[in-house]
Amino acid sequence: MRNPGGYAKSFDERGIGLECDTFTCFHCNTVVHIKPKCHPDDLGGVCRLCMKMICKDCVDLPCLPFEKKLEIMEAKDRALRSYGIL
Amino acid sequence: MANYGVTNSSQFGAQAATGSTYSALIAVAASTAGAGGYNAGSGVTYSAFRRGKLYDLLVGTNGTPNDNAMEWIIHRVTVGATLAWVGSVSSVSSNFALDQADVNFGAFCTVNASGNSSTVFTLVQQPPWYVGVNQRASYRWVAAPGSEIVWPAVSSATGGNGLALGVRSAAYTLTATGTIMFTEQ
Repeated sequence: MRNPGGYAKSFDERGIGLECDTFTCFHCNTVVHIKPKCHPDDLGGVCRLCMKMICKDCVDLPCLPFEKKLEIMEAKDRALRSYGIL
Repeated sequence: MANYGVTNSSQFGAQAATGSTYSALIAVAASTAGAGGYNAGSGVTYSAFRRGKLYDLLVGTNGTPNDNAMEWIIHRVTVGATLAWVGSVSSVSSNFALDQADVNFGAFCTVNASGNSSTVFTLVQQPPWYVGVNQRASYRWVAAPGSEIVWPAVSSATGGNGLALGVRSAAYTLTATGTIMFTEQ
């Protein structure tokens, strides 16, 4: 694919190499292996808000990029630690 | 940002046998003073949580070749304050940076951890990486910049502060090998 998010290589039981591109879901950080010539709907989709590739599980969910989730988690953690709760 | 590589080599303790439930080969988590947070040479000690980005995975087996199904997974886990592990990274006193001129990582890292019980790791959310391969096969995944698997810079009390590389197999009962490469922000 164009601009893949990763590359995976393995072997089958006969020792024949298997290669595929991957992409990482921008919402949940899941690595999706791309089967060549598969139907695009089987991969997931493109979020029309953040315009990034997302996995099948995130297609029907609101746009909340993983980076944003990290920021929320870390801000909460910092706040609770500053209060002495954690 | 420095890059680091960690393996579950038997140098870090006995490799655990593969079972029908997931066992953690390598686990990394954000830490203020993890096992690898102190560099004896530079004396640098990290005091703040740091995000980690896992960008390279290499897994395989080192037992007698056979045709069995292996399931490999990267869990999101909450790494508890008290862990049971077969070997400790810090016991080797090595700098795991790929460039030895860099300081060691600040993350907490445990290798060949014994089991995956709730007292060691608590699974959180869906796994970001999962693959099934033949026992004979090795598998490698490399992320393009911006597509890494990320763990947050939070304490274990918040939860989901780490990643664990796990393996299971219904038929294969010998040891498995794993290598991860990551960077810290």
